[in-house]
Amino acid sequence: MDSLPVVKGTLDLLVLRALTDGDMHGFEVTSWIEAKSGGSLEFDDSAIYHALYRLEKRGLIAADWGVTENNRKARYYQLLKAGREHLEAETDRLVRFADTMVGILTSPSGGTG
Amino acid sequence: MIQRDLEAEIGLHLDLRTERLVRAGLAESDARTEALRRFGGAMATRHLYTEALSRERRMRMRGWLDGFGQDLAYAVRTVVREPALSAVIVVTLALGIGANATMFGLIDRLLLRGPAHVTDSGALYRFYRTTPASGSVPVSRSGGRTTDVLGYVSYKVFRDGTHSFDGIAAYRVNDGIVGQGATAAELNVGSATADFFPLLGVSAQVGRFFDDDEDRPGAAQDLAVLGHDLWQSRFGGARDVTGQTLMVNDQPYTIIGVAPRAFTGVDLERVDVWLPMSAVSPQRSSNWQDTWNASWLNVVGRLKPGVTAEQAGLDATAAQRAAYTGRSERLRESTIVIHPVSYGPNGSEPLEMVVSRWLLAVATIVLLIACANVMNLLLARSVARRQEVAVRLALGISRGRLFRLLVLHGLVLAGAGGALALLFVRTGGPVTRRILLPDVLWTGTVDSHVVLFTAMMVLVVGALTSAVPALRAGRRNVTTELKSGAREGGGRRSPLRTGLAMVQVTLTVVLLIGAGLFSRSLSTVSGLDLGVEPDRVLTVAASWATPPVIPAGTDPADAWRVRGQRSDLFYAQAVERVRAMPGVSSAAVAIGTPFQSLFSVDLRVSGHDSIPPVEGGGPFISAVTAGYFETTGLDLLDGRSFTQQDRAGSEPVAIVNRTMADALWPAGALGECIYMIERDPEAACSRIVGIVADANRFGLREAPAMQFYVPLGQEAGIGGTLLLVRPAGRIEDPKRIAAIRAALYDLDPGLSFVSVHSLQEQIDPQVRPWKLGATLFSLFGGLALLIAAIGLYSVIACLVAERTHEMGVRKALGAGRGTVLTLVLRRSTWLVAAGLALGTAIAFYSGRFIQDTLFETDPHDPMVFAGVALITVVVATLASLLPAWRASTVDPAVALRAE
Repeated sequence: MDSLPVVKGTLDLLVLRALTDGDMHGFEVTSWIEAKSGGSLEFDDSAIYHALYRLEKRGLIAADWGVTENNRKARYYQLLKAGREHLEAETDRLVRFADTMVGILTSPSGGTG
Repeated sequence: MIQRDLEAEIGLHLDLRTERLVRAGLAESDARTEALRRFGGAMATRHLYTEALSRERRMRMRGWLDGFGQDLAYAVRTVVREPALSAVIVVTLALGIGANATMFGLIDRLLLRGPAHVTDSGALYRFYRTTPASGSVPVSRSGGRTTDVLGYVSYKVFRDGTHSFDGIAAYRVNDGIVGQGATAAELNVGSATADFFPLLGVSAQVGRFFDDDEDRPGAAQDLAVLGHDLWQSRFGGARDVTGQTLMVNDQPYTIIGVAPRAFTGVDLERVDVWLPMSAVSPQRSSNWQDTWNASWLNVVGRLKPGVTAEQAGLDATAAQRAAYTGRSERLRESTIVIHPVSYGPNGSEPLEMVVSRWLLAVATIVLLIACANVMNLLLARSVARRQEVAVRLALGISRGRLFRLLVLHGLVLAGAGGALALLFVRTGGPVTRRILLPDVLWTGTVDSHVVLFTAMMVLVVGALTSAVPALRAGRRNVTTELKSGAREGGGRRSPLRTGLAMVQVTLTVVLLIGAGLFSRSLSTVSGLDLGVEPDRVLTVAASWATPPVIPAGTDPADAWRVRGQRSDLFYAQAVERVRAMPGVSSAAVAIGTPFQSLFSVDLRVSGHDSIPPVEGGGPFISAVTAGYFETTGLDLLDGRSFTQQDRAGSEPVAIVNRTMADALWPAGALGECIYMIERDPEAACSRIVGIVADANRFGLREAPAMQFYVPLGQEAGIGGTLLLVRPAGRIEDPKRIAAIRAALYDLDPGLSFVSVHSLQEQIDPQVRPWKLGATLFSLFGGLALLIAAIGLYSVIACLVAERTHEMGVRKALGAGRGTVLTLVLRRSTWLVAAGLALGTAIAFYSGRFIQDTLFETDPHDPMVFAGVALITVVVATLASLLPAWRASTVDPAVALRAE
């Protein structure tokens, strides 16, 4: 399957969604999205960090230094309450949008009535 | 910092990715390259970094601002919570800052800003002619005579014959009568060449200024451009004023425009109307365009960039020498120099400006004293609140934050002081300016420059006064402070605070000595014997609307005599009329009065082939009626005064002054002869019948000149009659002045204007620098004394408060009230004595710098020094006695229980 380019703005939602599973550092977020998409989404790894910083600036997530299982220093990101609400609202919106699009695009051809 | 964070984060990412790729089977180096590729390459890293950097900066700024806002609010609350302390500090700073802002406003107007509406006034220079010293001419200190009053021919020569200037113009401002009849008033009438306005870069607010064609010599038009003030007051600011007629010196002029508000040419005095130079100059002389013998205007020029004033002066001198056609040796040898337009008529910086600069220095000292005082109060405050500070530090506030908090507190106080200072400037500024430079046209007191200057001072003063106490507060050791009560901290000596109080005393002493020296100068000037008594004499001059009728067939050579007859007749009647008025003790008519005009004529005297020169010059001639010496207050030393019988046609007589008598006839002047050979080589002997005291001619300091008086009517070749009136009471009584005017109009309804001035008005500008210096030095000195007294009081009061416990112990152990009092006073006495000694030393040393500004006063005047010492000691004792007394009344039981 060809990889799909990520629609603008959706990467932020994916990152937020990843963090609902718990605090993660950047590579964990990247791996989470790769695993969930089965590698079918196409983006540079750096885009994840852009998204993380963007979300941090908007106050949707917070960051703090921590240590990985292998005792390496890493910056861990945590989903904030505002982030969770944003994720829910945006997911809802995106799902309705997608439903509508799918409905229109897959409807049988013919007159309107 | 950010870069390191980012490198760590991305480094980890790349490491983990590489490890995963290696686990999937890639070679180590290939895995690394692939990891980087997936990340987006090196560019992606850099991009991330710059973005992170700007984000970090924004966040830090926001954090700082949040903290700043909190701290500012806290600082304001602190100021409000300590109303007494805050009030003292704010008022102290307001006085200091206000004094500086006021003086800055003055200097700004005089020196920095230049005349209003003038483009780049710094490049404008005024032309001066210096003639070499010669026996008959008054000699200035520089050895020659320098003047800025030149002729039209000089203007033409400089304009056409020099190459150092981007433009040259001529102008002059004189008193003139504007209007006719009831609305006539003596105003400032400017005349200027048409190139004056473009040279300055000014354009009219309404209409226009006149152009070269309208100012063409020989074909000039009678046009007028109104000053803004006159336009408002007389024409109500009507825009259709152009085309109307304005009478100036009884000539009609057509108004063609209005100058912009506050435009005063290159000087700072108000100008009410501008006329074309070529329209008014023919009144000066029939060949005014070309004569070297008449001087009535000032020449100014805009120096080309890169040319020095010295080069330009040489250029102008060369041009004058090449063009000079007259016969005067002195004029031929004279040199031209140029000075900034702010310079005075004799080519030196006006004394007012020198004094103003001194006063700015003085104001700075007042501010320093105020700052020392405030710093002292803040130090005392930080001692009193050291426990609060310790608690804050213990609670984890950073020392930087604490510093910021305290400095903000200082800035808030200084800001309030600055605001109050502007209020002071608003109310006090106009008064200062009126005393300082009453002729200058001022526009507003609190302008943008003054506000900006005040704001800068607020920042500097606020930071300065609070930084030292803040640094000391942050240095404290938290644990010991927390453990200690007031007792342990109290006994500590504070050399810094004592030192600050001493500095205040020192500076105050310096200022007071300055005030004393200027006051002495003023009293010397005021008490000066000028020979005549200018403050008791009014001068009255009449002018007529129409020229007198000269009978047909009169020889033109006699026309001037006929013209003079009307005036002579009028003044002869006027003096009788005025003398008979109630409230007038005497009156006389004179040509050639001190501080007004000076004449000399060709003479021969008995007993000498030629007249030996004296330092002050002369002989000068005055023609006066009976009662002149009585009216002016000049003492008759020997012989007799003139009587009603001494007149035209009676036996020629003369009265000489003491200097002339001593120089020419040491054995006795009475009965000797003066021959006035100016017009008649065979003139008869004017027999000397009396000797009078010397009188100053123009200046306050000048060598006595030879002077003689003849009865009015016996003179020849001089003119310019004045009526002199000596009122019995106050001379500025407006009712009496109005009565004199009315009597004269009644005498001759054809009069267009009667001007009345006191002779003193001619002298006031010369006295003003000392009046100014004495007034403002005294004011600032008093201010400094007050602030220093408050400072001393607060230092002693704090000292006492901190040692309350010690005092209690001492009293409990049996010390009497006197002992405690002595203990406290000893400290303040030491402090004051040191300050006094230091201040006296500084004043003594800097005396020679102020010498030139003083009037015949020794800068080391022992009376002044002793007086200041006395005042300082008295005030200092009073200021420290109060808290000391309070200390001595401490109840030991209360003091000891207070812990």
